[in-house]
Amino acid sequence: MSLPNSKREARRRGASPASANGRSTRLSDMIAAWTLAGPALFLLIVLFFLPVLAVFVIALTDWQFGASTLSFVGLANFEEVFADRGFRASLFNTLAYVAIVVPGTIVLGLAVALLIESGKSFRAFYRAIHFLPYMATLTAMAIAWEALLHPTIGLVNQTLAGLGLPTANWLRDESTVLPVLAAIGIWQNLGFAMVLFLAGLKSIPQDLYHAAEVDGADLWLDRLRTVTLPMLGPVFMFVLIVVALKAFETFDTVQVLTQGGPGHASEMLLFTLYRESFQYLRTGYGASVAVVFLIIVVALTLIQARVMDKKVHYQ
Amino acid sequence: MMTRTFPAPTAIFRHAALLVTAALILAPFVWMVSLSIKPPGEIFRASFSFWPEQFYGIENYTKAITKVPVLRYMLNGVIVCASILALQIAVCAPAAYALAKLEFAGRDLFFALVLIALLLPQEVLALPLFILGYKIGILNSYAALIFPYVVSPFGIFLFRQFFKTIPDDVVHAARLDGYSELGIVWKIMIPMALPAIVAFGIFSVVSHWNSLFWPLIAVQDQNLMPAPLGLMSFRSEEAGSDYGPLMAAATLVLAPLIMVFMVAQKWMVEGLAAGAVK
Amino acid sequence: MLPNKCARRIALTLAGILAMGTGAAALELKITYSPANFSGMYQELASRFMERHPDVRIKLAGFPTYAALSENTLRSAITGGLPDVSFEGINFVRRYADRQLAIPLNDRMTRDAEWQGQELPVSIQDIGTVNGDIVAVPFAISTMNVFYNADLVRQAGGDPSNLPTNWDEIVGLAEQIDALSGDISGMYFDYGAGSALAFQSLVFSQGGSMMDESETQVAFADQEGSWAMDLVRRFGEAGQLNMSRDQARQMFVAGKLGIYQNTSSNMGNFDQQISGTFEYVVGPVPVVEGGRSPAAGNAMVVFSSEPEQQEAAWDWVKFATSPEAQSIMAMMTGYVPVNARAADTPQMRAFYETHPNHAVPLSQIDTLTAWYAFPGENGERVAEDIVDAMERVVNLRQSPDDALNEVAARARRLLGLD
Repeated sequence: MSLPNSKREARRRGASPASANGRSTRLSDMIAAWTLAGPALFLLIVLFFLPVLAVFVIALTDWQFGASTLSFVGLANFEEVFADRGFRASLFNTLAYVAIVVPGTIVLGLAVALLIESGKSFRAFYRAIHFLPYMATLTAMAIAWEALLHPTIGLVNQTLAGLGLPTANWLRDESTVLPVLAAIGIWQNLGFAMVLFLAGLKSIPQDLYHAAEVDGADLWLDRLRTVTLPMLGPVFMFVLIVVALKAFETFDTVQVLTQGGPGHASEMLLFTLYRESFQYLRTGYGASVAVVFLIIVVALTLIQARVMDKKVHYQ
Repeated sequence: MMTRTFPAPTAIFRHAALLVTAALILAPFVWMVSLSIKPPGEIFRASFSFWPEQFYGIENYTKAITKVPVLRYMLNGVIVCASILALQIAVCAPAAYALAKLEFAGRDLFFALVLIALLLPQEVLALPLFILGYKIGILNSYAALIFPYVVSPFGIFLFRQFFKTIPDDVVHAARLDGYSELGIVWKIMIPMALPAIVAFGIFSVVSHWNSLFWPLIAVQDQNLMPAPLGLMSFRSEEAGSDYGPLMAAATLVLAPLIMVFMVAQKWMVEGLAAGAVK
Repeated sequence: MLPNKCARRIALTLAGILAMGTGAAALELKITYSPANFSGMYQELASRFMERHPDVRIKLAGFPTYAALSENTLRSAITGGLPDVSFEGINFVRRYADRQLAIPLNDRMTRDAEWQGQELPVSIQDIGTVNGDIVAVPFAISTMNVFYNADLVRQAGGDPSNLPTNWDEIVGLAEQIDALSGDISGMYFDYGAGSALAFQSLVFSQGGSMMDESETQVAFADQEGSWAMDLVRRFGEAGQLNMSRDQARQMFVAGKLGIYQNTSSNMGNFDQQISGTFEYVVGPVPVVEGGRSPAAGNAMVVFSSEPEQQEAAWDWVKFATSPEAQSIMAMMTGYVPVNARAADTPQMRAFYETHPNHAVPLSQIDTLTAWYAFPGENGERVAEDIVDAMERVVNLRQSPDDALNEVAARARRLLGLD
């Protein structure tokens, strides 16, 4: 349908001009937009931002979980956070973990999604299998991993030894524990990335491929390069941000498998926060760890979003 | 209509690669199912076999169901997950549409707020939310399990990305055809972004089905607890775990999710047919 | 108008109905416990109690771990929904005393003849005492023990019916077992137990303590502590593998670990998971003359503020420590009864005949003392530090003296003592 005619008609009918073409919006548009977004905004404030504000306030106190009194200590908690060697170790570990898990998950997730969609047979089967780790209850999986990674009687080391490959004390050796947790993180999350990429692939209109073929993009690789990957742009941005976030916020695997050990080798920020607040009952201090954590994550994510939104090709 | 989109690397390569990854992925699950059919005496032997000498599956699964009301917990999971998902879509889709297709003052700020909310992990928010729930008086009820999740920044963000790929012309045309903005959301955007909606549904259901962190805080009544609690009852840090029924319970808890996924997959595929209007 | 007699009759009937109504408005006791896998046992006890006290209704809620239970209790303190009685991990009892949430039971105990009649050992009452207040009554005890794979012991030339009586002998035996073959490991000392339980057991066993009486000085770095760290080092030198608590359990059950130290509560699972593939025997952790041993397990803490609730809660406490309830507990969970009379009932005697390992902890009851918790807001952190130190020492990454001094210095700082 041709646009200019309908626009003239619309104006004659008095309807507001389409806002998406950059024209100035009218009041009714604003009202429409805020009506649509209103409930979400209200709920975001009540369920996310007010609680976060509460955490900021608690971070300025010395409140102990369950105590009936507290007192304000200003920035004392924050000073302690930055001086604490354990916190710095935790921060470094978290960054290292993210640096391994994010590329690993995205590359594998995308590769598996492409492989599955590139053929006709057994798609449902392959999709389901690769999504299993994401669906399984973490505690059970962690228990299974712990048994598999046992230094002597575990299946992993037994297989490696059988093949003549070197073995290691995977979960208890400081140099291997973080990479192993990262590998488990990738194992868990690649199904998540895969499903999102599948949804993205399914949304690419067929005509684009036909057009590309007509333009001479015969090879599979060409089509990948000229159509698929650019069209996956918005999804890719999303997957990158969300997987990075999940990686930053890893907590369950650490809690069940290593509790941050050996020493502080596998300690990660969210676990530190949880332990300070709920195990050591130093909720004021735990809240300040939370604040520092949030500031880092917010900065990183907004930067990511800024950079990618500009590069991503929308319609 | 499938194969034309991706002329494959050869079928053999495809299957080979996927089977390798599948095998690596499946290892712990094979272990889990194997433990769920073994008697306690065979669980940690130095030698490995999938199949036990003495088949103990019936005992383990029976114990998993009877010692703790796992089926009841799963029913709770169904109620809670379905409610959460319905509310999430109702709240998030309109907001995402506004972000994706409308221009209005404060839009960028709103999007930034959504992103920031996305970053806030529940471990951080749990305690204030607990106090909030207490003040409203809904603790220890299904509502307590549902209310923190009613708005999903993840959902808003995901829908926004997918809605943005729908051409503006479609929206213009719909307006001219007399659709209200809300009508556009339900009748145009959601059907055309169905793969994303279904994907979101899968993630939402899976994450709330398996989540224990918030339920342990918000609810004391065992009759309201979700499925993973059934597992935890077989685990003790001090005295060691009862592995057979634990893994049996884990398998039982996983089964409905697999079924949901198999069904949902089809919608993701068929969604393309409905959205072929593009 | 109704004749007088009729009216009186009606009035009396009405009064009777109303009285029944209020009588049937039962008193509700909220009871929380951990671990959740003992729900069957708690339900059994609850139904027996309700038979005897028809005016009381019990509402049970179980939690996966002692830590999760404690978090719930503390949260309930914020929202005013504290349980009436909670079966808390013994190491967590202190935090309720510090926050003045737990009701001291000293008076009730001295005044109540029924309670006095139970004649519970003094050590049991000690366990629940914090700064002179008896705030907890132990319910299910777990003692510090050493488990031996009898087959491996014999292979190494030892005698399972003549178990070692001190640590030197134990370590010696472990070294011999370790030398047996490549995939056999000699021993594992479970240093990772919560709130530094394992370290406490070593220090207490030599007559030492973690802090002095007034809790102003750190005492765990004195000679007993030094001896303890040296011993931990020897475990490492005797070949203790670097593995997690669960992995060690799995290894023992698979028959690949000769000597395993942990609490008696593991026996329940061991009986099932080993089930005859090899013979295992149990001995106590060595304690010198005058030494003590920390009790793991859980104890009942009363939180009710209303007098009626407190009465009912106290009735429950008395019932739970009676021989009947204690034998149910011991048989269904494998924990040690706090009431010696429970061990004398016919079912328990029969049980101990067929499960001799379970009788071993009974001989340790008199040496029991409280599972210690450090005071103040950093108490748990200090305990974690000690566990981390043991981990470094047993894996031969730090010398015992260095580790101990480092931990003690940090503890003094965290506890605000310098």
